[in-house]
Amino acid sequence: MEQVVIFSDDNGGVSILMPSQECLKRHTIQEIAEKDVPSGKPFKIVSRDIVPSDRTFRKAWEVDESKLTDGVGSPHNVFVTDPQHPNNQS
Amino acid sequence: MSDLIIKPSGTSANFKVQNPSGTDKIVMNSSGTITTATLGSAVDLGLTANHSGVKTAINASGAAPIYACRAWAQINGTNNNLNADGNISSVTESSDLYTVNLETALEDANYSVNVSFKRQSGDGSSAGYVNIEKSQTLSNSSFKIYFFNTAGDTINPGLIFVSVFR
Repeated sequence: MEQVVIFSDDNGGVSILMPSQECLKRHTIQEIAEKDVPSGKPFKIVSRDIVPSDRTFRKAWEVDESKLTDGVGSPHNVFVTDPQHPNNQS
Repeated sequence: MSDLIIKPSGTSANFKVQNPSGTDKIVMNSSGTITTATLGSAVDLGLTANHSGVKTAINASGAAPIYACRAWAQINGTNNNLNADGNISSVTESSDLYTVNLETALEDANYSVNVSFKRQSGDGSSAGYVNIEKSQTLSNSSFKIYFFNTAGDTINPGLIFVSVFR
């Protein structure tokens, strides 16, 4: 089952994050979401099937932020395994 | 002091090093060509990016130096699907603004991004131009792009092509 990550953008709209299948060979979607969702923003990992394919009113999409309970975007935009992650800096 | 010389018994014989079970691990033929060997990651071949052997291997002729593509992707802009990519962790679409996130960050934000997109057959509104989003501070791990048609409206191209050089 293909999954995507949703979070709310700064204008009250809905952002859809699609993970790379290549990257998923090395990292979980949770790890990707924590790295790539903007810092401090709560997110939800959902089945891709629930994202409407009809984009006619795409900019009017809204999300209930109280349902975004799977995690929060990290302040670091690198994986913890990346040499540039603060944990790996000497 | 004298050299240590190891030589096969016949002129056309190979020189071999085998493991205890008799499997050839290193083989050099009578012409002096090593035909079997495994190089460990610690072996220093003395290659540089612009070594003639490297350039020949990737069909880079002439004296100009070579610089590698550090990330690339083909993205379906209508459903956000990454059709294929390298060093990309994800793509986010927020009200027609696309954020491309790198799996492994670059050393800094002084990179070059090349973006193009495919015009849809029979759809004049799919022709236009692409911008690196003006409001962002370039990051070494992501960048944001918008696509516009010739009327200045944002669009979602069917296919987006991205490459990053540094």
